[in-house]
Amino acid sequence: MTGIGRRSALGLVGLAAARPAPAGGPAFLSAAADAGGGWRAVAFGLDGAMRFDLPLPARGHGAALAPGGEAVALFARRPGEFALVLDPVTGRRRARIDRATGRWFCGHGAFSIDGALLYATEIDGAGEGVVGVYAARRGFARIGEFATGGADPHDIRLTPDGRRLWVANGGIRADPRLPRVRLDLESFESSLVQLDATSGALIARYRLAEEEETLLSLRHLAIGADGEVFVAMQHEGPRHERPPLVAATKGGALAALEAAPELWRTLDNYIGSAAAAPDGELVAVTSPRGGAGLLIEARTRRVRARFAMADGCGVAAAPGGFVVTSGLGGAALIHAHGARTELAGERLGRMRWDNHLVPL
Amino acid sequence: MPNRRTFLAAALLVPASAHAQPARTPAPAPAAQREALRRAVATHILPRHAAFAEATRGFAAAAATAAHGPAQMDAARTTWIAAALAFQGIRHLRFGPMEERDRGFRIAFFPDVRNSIGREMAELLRAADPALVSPEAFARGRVAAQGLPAAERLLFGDEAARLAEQRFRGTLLGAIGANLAVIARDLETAWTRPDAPYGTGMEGTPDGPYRSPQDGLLMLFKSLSGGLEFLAERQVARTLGPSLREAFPRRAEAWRSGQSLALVRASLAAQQELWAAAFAPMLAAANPTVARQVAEGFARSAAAAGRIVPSLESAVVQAGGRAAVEELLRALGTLRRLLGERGAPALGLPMGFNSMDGD
Repeated sequence: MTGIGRRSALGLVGLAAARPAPAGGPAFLSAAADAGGGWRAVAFGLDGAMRFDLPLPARGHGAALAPGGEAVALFARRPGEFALVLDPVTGRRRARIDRATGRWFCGHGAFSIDGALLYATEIDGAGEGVVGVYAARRGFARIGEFATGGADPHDIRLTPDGRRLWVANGGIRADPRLPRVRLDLESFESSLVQLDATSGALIARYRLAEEEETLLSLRHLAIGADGEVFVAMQHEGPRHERPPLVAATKGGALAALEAAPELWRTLDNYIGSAAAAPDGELVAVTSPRGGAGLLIEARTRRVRARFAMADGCGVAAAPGGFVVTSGLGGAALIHAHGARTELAGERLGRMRWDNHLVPL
Repeated sequence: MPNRRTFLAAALLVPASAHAQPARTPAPAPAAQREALRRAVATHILPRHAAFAEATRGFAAAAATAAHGPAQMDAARTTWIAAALAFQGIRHLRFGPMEERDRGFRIAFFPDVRNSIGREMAELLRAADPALVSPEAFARGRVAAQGLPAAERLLFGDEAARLAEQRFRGTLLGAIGANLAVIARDLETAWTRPDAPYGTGMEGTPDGPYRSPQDGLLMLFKSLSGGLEFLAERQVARTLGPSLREAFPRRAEAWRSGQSLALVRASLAAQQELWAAAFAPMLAAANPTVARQVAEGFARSAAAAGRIVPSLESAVVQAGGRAAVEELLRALGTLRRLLGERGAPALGLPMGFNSMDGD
């Protein structure tokens, strides 16, 4: 596909803006597993009460909220067969998007600024990345795709002005016929790319400087206050190496953040999720393997606080800080200065929360 | 007056002590967990460490004289294979004694993505200084050049014939043999020393790394999960490459000796043994269905490994062979996910699926 047509990309701004906020304060959506091992999509509030809870055909991963809260799309985990479009208040299913022939979902997506388009990271049969483009108001029909210029595309975010997309190409080649087997963990090329949201044209490609690039896979993204992108990474090289795991764009370059080595060590070479506060001043990253997370000041690029959370991975901005969920059950509010409050709720504690949490 | 809803929400934010119930079956009683640990130590960890110590002693003796003639060289090769296979029996136990003093890396620096082995060996051969290959020197550095892969290069590599000509090659091989025997002995001692054997510490001590038998059992579970991941990703998948044309047979762990597949099978068998010793009985009581699925998962993986012929290196460069290798990877992936998604919760172990199998 070449372009989408400027009209469909830009013509519907503001249509969805008037929707009232859901009752009961902020809510959050995550894929989860119940005690019996069943896969679910679950939304809960800060009060710990469930907003909705529905079964999934397979393990879910990330989700994307349409602007104005019209709909939320939840993606199957890579290599994914489906995405579900849900009502963010009731959880009612609006649409099921099946993967296109020869394409598999990678678990993340983003809506265009007017909500008319849904972008999804996908791979082809050789593991090369594309962004699948779906028309929200035509039943989420797939109307085209863009190449991401790399293998293993994972997280995707829209720039604040809505004109471009950021995509993290994790770089680790996989064969969708061999679910979750990662091929070639030692010579992969990972990159962060910026694509035109309308034409798909590659606008910029960022890689870590050679001396910093120690087998790091760029996977999750958060947009900071000035529109800069924070990239959360995973290190696939020798275990005794402990490189920095967060990088950020600055000018035309991507540079690793500087922090004390012991901070990186607590993350055990693995960040599972990243989120930014709505004003972009604070970015949170989580490491389920390290059982820890960091709060990073976007402007100074300094680590402000470290918090502990066993198997903590899902993270989403919330009033006053971030909600972090655990794969062992339970969730906590990590306040902007690092203090912590557990969220109550018996079912919140019983559910095993999967990789990502999205504010509704 | 604050809005009632806000007030309620704030009141429901409670401190950590009131944390909700865990998302898993209540853990078995500490006594049952202690029994599981003891079974694992007695029937898996101790005999496997004894076997590795014995195999490295045999290799050390043969390595010392390998340069003396073809028969001695053959003996060194045979004993190297025995030592490499025996290491698969304990390699997944990557904590405590194996982590201390980098013993795991010193025994087998693999995968070696930056050619550290080649570089360090070249330095040692160039210097030809016996002081650089003493156990004391090896304890201080050159982690990559002092273990099984370095010895394999000397015995099976392109330049193996030079072992008899270049005297320091023989010296280095002898030094590696002696070094491995010392490491293996120290490992075994850590588990058998009468005053504070490591396995007893795993049952829990007030100030130790394990506070309860559950902590010890969790470490064994992580060893199994991590061991299966290492087996699949590093020992098998990296040889496969993205396609037949891009296969990497020389990324196999022991392509020089042709033992890569034997090592894979040995590792799988050892991990199956750990599962059977520590976890299978507990899981059979907690959830017989999942227990049966895990047993089937191991059996299916072993059968798939058995169908790879004649070697991993040759299989990955042929369509039929690749299919067999892919089948093994599928079986190992299914097994590992089953352990993380169903096994750990059913055993009451706080092993999260985000850490075990995330994106």
